[in-house]
Amino acid sequence: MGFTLRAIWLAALVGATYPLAVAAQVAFEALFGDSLLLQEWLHGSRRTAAVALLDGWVASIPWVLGFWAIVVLLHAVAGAQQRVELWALLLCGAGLLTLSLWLSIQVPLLLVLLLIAAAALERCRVRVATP
Amino acid sequence: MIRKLVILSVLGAPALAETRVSLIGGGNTADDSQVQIEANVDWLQTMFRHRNIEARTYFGAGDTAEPDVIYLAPPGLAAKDAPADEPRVLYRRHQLPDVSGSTRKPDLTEALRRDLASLPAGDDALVIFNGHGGIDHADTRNNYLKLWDDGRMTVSDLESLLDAAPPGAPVRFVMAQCYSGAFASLVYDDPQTASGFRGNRCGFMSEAADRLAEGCGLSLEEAEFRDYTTYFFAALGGRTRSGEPIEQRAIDRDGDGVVSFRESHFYALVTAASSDLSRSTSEQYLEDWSPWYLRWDSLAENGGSIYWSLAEELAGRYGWESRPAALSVVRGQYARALDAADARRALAQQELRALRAQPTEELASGAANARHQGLLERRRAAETAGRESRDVSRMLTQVEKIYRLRQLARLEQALEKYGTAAERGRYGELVQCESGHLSP
Repeated sequence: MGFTLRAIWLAALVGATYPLAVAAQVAFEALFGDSLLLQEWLHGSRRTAAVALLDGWVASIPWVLGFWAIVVLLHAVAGAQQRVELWALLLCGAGLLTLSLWLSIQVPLLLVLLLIAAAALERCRVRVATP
Repeated sequence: MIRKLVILSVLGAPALAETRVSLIGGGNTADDSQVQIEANVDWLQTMFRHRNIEARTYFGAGDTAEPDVIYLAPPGLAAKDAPADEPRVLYRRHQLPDVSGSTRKPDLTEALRRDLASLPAGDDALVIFNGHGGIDHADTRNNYLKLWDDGRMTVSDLESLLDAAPPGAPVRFVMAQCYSGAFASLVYDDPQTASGFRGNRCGFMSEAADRLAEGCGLSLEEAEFRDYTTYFFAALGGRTRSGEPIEQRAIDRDGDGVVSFRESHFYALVTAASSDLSRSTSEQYLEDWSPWYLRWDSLAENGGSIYWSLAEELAGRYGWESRPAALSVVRGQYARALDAADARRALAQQELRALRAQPTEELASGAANARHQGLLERRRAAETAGRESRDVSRMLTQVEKIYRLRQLARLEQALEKYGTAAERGRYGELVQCESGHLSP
């Protein structure tokens, strides 16, 4: 795979991190209560929802880049033990989620989901980049 | 001896703080200076007079003989002089007592600066605007008050005037015009960049920065008035617009025997069956602070917040559940009904325009009568659809208010959790300022 294609693929994955995290948040909230975003989309103003999503997508860029830097660094450090790296990230994310949901520890849900989404998408990058 | 003691004790007592009111009202032209605005200003003047509160009034053309109020002609006169398919309007000079000046921009600027600069130590200022607001669609931070002779006073203009008040003196404002939400930035020295926070300034706005407000009708049926002023000041005065006393616990929520500005705002939020999404500066601060990752956070509940209770109370008034999943169905129904009513009104207005455009000279008397009848019918149809649209829009706003109140409760909690000490401090200062009351 050429450098340009890999760069485009990476950019697409980074760009998909926020939408994936938001989709997970909507699913989560719909499961445990009400999802305001889903309600806004279904019964309110789709324009409001779309504009808010776009705003959020732009505002999340520094965080997404930060999370990606963490997972890529972890990946590099883990070397051959890639599964260990992935599981470490997923366990960390799940732990934060548990703290946030059941123990009311101050961790915004969407930030946790962004980290998990970055970790999951980073695996896609690795799979495609490493035949 | 007793007399001496009384005099000494009066002299020795600390001076009680007083509220100095600057009451600004009227439209920008006679055509846009509806009689309801005059009625509101008159009502407020009466209330302040009864409470011995010093209020300076600035209205329309001021003391000149220029007509600055427009009103609907009485029915008999309208039928005689005007085309049957159009309401007849008349103009007159305002009938308010004690008007200190006009709202022409140079006059008002000078007068407000003088009022605020002369605020005695320990007193507080209350600036009230009852008129029309304009919007800058490119940037709502440049929204403005419409002043007499088509003058404009932007948020920044007014902010620089408020600087004339002595440092530390509480300055509050009540803005009841369209697009008034932009004036929440008056709490900053630089409203454009939201920098230079002023904790001793706070206010209440009838609407968001991009929405039209209720009010400004040509009718004088006060029982039908649903503007923010009507509800907010009814709570402060303890009586509804029609003079009925309001139950004390509906307005004095903390039971301290005094109705604060904040409590009056809460009364307006719950009671106003209008299409206004009213807000205070502290609420706007919470919404502006809200970080992107909390915008749609739906899981948190904050039963301890006043906003959560208000949402429950408002939902209870209409027999709704306050949970978004249940409420969103109601919201969808009203949104569809609003679209339908607006479509009917647009169609009736289109037909009315087409009928009016028909040449009348060559019509035989029978055809002329039929045209006249058609005009009346279509005008009635447009009015009926307009009323339906307005009523549905008011109900839809109640649903949106519940969403917003719940979100404010969540944001209060989120600020406590994630906000910095400075951010929490600013919010606290705004709430404290809003919790002040009219004195004496």
